Amino acid sequence: MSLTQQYRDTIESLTDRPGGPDLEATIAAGRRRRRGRRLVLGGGLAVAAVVTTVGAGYVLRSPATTAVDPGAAGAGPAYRDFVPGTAIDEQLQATVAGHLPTLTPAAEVYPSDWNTDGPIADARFADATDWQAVYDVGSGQRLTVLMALRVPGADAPGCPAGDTGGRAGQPACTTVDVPGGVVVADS
Amino acid sequence: MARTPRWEPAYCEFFAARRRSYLRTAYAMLGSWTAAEDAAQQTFTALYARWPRIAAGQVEAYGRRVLVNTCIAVYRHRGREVPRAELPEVGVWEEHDQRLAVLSALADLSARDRAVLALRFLEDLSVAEVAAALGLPEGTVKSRTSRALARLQQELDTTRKEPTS
Repeated sequence: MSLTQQYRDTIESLTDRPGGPDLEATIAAGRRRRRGRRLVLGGGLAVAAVVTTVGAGYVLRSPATTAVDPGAAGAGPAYRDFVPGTAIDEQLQATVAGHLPTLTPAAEVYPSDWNTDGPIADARFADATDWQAVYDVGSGQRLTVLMALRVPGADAPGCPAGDTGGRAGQPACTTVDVPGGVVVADS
Repeated sequence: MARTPRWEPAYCEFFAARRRSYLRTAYAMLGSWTAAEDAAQQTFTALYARWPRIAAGQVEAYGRRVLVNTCIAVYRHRGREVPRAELPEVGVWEEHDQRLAVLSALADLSARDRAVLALRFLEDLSVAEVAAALGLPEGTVKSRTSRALARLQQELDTTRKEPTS
């Protein structure tokens, strides 16, 4: 038996057993990481936050859904209509304003999805798996608020385990329960 | 409302196809089943997170590179291990000794040398493919392969001369 065959046989015999990476766990971890990467979009962010939709007015529907758009319908929207054909952009602004009333109006609101860190085309809003609102908060810094669908089968969104990225080894990430979801803030 | 990214089925296919070979390569590099499982899991997680950005046709090469880098990071973190305690019971002493000899020789190699052996002889990659995966010149891959095999041979020869039973 050749040396390389002996090597191969040894490794194969020792790894021929059950166990190994689990697809479901890998996908769940991968999705968490993708969401985490979105939180730090833009580099100069002071804070990023996620509001997950668990009902309570924030509903992203399938492409067959007909959405009412207050902006397009001329109903005197209190918030700017960034994406024609849907009211989700206005709802996101209203939600943020409810929790952070001192913010200036959103600089940008756009749909996004798991394939894309930034915006997807406005016309594809029905394919969105999350929405992002960007606010100027002064000193060249921007706040991005991300409203996402809960990932099927995943735990409620939260902070990464073992987070010690804040000052003096404290967590950089905090969570606050709000009506209809949870806000995850990561400084 | 179950929505998944459009590329996820392709990822799942890749996972199923590469799961065992990643585990085997990780074991060959780390010499520990637990560490190999962790490294393979970390690699697949990293691939999922980056999947939409991996250029078409580059998934295999990219995945190998992530796996090797993950294993090297794990190896540095844990330090060297000679996994004798993990050897399963076998009935034939000679076979047992040969496995020990192979593992002992591997334990004396650097993480990159182990990676070269794993990619060349477990994954059956060409010298050029191994060089691309490890970011090494082809000449270096050849010399590392030759050195690692010589070390293996030496260890096996020693075992044959000094039977344990």
